[in-house]
Amino acid sequence: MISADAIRGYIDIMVLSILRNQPSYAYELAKTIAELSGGQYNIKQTTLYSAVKRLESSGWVDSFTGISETGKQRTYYKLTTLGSEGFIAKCQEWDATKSVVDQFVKGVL
Amino acid sequence: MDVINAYLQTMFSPYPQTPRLQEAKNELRGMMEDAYNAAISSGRSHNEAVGRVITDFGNLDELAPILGISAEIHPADPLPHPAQSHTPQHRPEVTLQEAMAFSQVRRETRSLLAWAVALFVISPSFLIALSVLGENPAFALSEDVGSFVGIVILLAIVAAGVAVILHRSRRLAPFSHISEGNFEPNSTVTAWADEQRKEHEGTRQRALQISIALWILAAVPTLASGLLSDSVATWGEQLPGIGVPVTLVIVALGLLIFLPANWAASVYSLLSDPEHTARDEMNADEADFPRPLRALLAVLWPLTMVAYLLWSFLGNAWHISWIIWPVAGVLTWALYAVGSAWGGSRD
Repeated sequence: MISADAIRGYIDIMVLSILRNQPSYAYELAKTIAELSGGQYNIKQTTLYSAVKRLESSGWVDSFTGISETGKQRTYYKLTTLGSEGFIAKCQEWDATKSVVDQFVKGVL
Repeated sequence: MDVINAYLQTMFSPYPQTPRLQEAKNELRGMMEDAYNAAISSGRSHNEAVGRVITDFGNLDELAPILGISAEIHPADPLPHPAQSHTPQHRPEVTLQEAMAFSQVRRETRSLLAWAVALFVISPSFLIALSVLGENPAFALSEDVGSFVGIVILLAIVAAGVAVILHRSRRLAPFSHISEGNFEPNSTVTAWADEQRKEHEGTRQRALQISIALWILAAVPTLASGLLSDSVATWGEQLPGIGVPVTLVIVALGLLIFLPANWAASVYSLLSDPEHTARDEMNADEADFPRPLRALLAVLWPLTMVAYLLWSFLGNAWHISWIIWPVAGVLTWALYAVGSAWGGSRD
């Protein structure tokens, strides 16, 4: 299990990455994150909601109201152009971060 | 879904209901409902699904900046660590899983406490009935034999009650820190327990109404047997031997109806207010009573037993000595009333 603190800075990347494929809604995002992490990370609802709203207020994602399969109203999120660019920048940042941290971890495990 | 709705209602209720907060509540509700339905369709029970959803809810602190409720969630406080002055020693925080397991056992054992108390209440019935009826020569047993048989039955019923209490304590033993109030409350657990309490409050209220009606009616057999004893030719003198036990049975019936319906309310008060529980785990109110009154309450019942046996054996008064029990009962009630009034007047 990965702790919530360790992964906090990378939730934006996960959300943006999922939304790059297609628009999605809060529960589906949480479910996809849990599935892709192979059960290593179970995101809390408040964590996901605050991440999505933060991305929305900085203009990286847009929300729209859609209808679910069962006919109830649901807020969907989609990536904006700004968000696509932001995602690439975030990925580059992660790559740099990873290679720096890797220098310290190399050979330990 | 009501549980989830009410949970969100409770979590958000302290904050101003702005449109932003309303929107967050709606979207989180949608998410929780989706998660609940997914858990149900993967074969989980209603209880497990609700527990899962609430555990995955997270923390309102995270939403504070985007909802503009930071000021309410972290009120400016001149004291750096206000909580520490109240709780000098560190106590473990209760988790939702623990609280749910505790609640489940309390629910499963809800009838045990009721049966034990009911058994204690009816335990003197046979003693009263047989010793009083024994006074009449036409009765199958003599007064002495009747009293002896009655005492044996009394002890057997008390033993059965004690066995039930011990069995219940064993079931609840893993949760002794909760029962004794030795934990830090947690707002999620409190909200969940409050929700569960509300869900069962209707049943509890109905049970309480029926029980109170029964407890009031319970006086009728005893009063009737006393008042009518002169107007009935044969057995008139012995009518209380039937009337008093019937009263006890009705009181016990009321307890059997009310106590099992009280579990959710009791779980809520234990989980939400450990300080209150810790002050006196048996009876929180008693801790406010003046010391002499507490001492008197502690020795009242053992003294009653001694007085009963002395009076019965030395005075050979089996036909009337039972009266000590209802008198002690009324006395306990009166002492509690005085104690509560005392505690109330100091507040």
